[in-house]
Amino acid sequence: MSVGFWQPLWLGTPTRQCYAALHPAAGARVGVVMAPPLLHEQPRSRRVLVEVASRLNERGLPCLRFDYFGTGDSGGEGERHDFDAVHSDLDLAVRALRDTSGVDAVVLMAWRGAALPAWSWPDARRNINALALWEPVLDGSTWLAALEAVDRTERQARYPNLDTVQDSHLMGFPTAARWRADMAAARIASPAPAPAPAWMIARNESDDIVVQRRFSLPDDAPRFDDGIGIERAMFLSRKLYGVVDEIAQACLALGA
Amino acid sequence: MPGAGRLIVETFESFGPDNRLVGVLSGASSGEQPILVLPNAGLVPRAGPFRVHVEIAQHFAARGIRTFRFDLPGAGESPHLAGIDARGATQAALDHLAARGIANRFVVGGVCSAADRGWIAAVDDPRVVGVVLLDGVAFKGPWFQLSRVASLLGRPREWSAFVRRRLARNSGGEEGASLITAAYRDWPTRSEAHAQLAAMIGRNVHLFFVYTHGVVEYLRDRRQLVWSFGAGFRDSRVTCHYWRDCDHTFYARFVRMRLLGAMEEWFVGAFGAGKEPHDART
Repeated sequence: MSVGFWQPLWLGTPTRQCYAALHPAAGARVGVVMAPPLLHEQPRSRRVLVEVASRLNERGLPCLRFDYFGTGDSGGEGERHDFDAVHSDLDLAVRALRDTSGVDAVVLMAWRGAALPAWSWPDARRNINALALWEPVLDGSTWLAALEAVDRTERQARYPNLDTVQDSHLMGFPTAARWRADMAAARIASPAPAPAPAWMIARNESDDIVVQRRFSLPDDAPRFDDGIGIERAMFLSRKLYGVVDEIAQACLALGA
Repeated sequence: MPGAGRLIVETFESFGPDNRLVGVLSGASSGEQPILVLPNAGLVPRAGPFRVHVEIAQHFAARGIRTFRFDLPGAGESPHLAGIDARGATQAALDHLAARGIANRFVVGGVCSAADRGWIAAVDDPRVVGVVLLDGVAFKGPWFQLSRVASLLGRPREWSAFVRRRLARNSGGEEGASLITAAYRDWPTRSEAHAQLAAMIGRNVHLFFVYTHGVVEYLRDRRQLVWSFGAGFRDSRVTCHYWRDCDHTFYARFVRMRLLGAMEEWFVGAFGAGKEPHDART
């Protein structure tokens, strides 16, 4: 898959600036905002999000990718990244897509850990027409505990001669106490209603939550959850292109 | 972190074939001072390993030093582009920044393969006045072998495993390992490195080396470095830190803070500080 044309832009104000990239499509009625994964999974997934956005764009959908404030190429420090901040960023991103592309309907594609703040986004029903969850983390507390265990292992491997390396970082990135508390309390599970019509994009069939539609990822879809390295998260297969095309059709149907 | 919380001016610059390459320019104009140019470290997006390029940009902008981080073709958000490789893209970035009047002197480099890009840019382009080599090129040689044997003598339980590895290497194992390294890195030969460093010193290029424990597979002893680069490595324009307690990608906060502090001290010492920006805070 190739990387299509996109243009960079800043969202927000100079004092609270988020990086974004728009894959434009003229005359579209539906667009997609992509909320990237969190922490180490964000850079690992960068290439895949670019390529998925390019493919959706080829199918006629404008796509807006962005980095949360305090992460990626956005301004600010990681310590200022928590669920409230993510909700503000989602507001900005959806508004920017509507303003730049003139679309009537927006699908928010939330990847992995981003599904949790997207699920708790108070303004979701007002701002988006569907919430597409890409291999979502369903239980924030369990995920956080798993990351803390991996982080301890990483530190022991990287700094074997130091008894303890204490800082607020997790998986190499700053995390505020508020972020950890938000994550520990977050959970996606029925019977809690989805904040908007929900789609599940996953490699395993799961009945954990009630969703309107399911898309099945192939076994060779890139993984972002197996450590720090980046190589295994880089490559898209032909089967995955097919799934992305199905998602594009579902998005386009919202504008029909 | 120094520099964090300040209002940092950041703009986009598009360059290369059909302007398909994109970078982020940080900091305000500061006259004749060189700009720090940061290509990708391997496949890691331009924000850098654990976002260290952004932290460098924020830190340096507070001292009036500009930075430019960008994605090479095929990395991060950049498409693969016919007819331009990493070397050409780095050169295109420098040409673009010069043509736009943003800078006409450059410091280039970064972690791992970005260090290789910096070295090559300094060889290619006389406008490059500084190189940042974080786990960059070095050659093993006798000091490496001596260090390894000395280390092994203190660990008799590992002697049998060492002998097995040596036997495997004698049957082609070491060549295989070298090919793997060669696939990821873009290094001169040792004799080329001697000549190239001497030429850089001759035209007043300043070099900032950091080696970490992450490259223990090819660097175990500081004395390897003069063997690798020649007498030029002892020149005052060469700054080198050997941080055995540090990892290759600067995972923990304490190693990133140490890196930022050392880079700033070196940059300001070599090129002077820029004009301090207004103290607006976010």
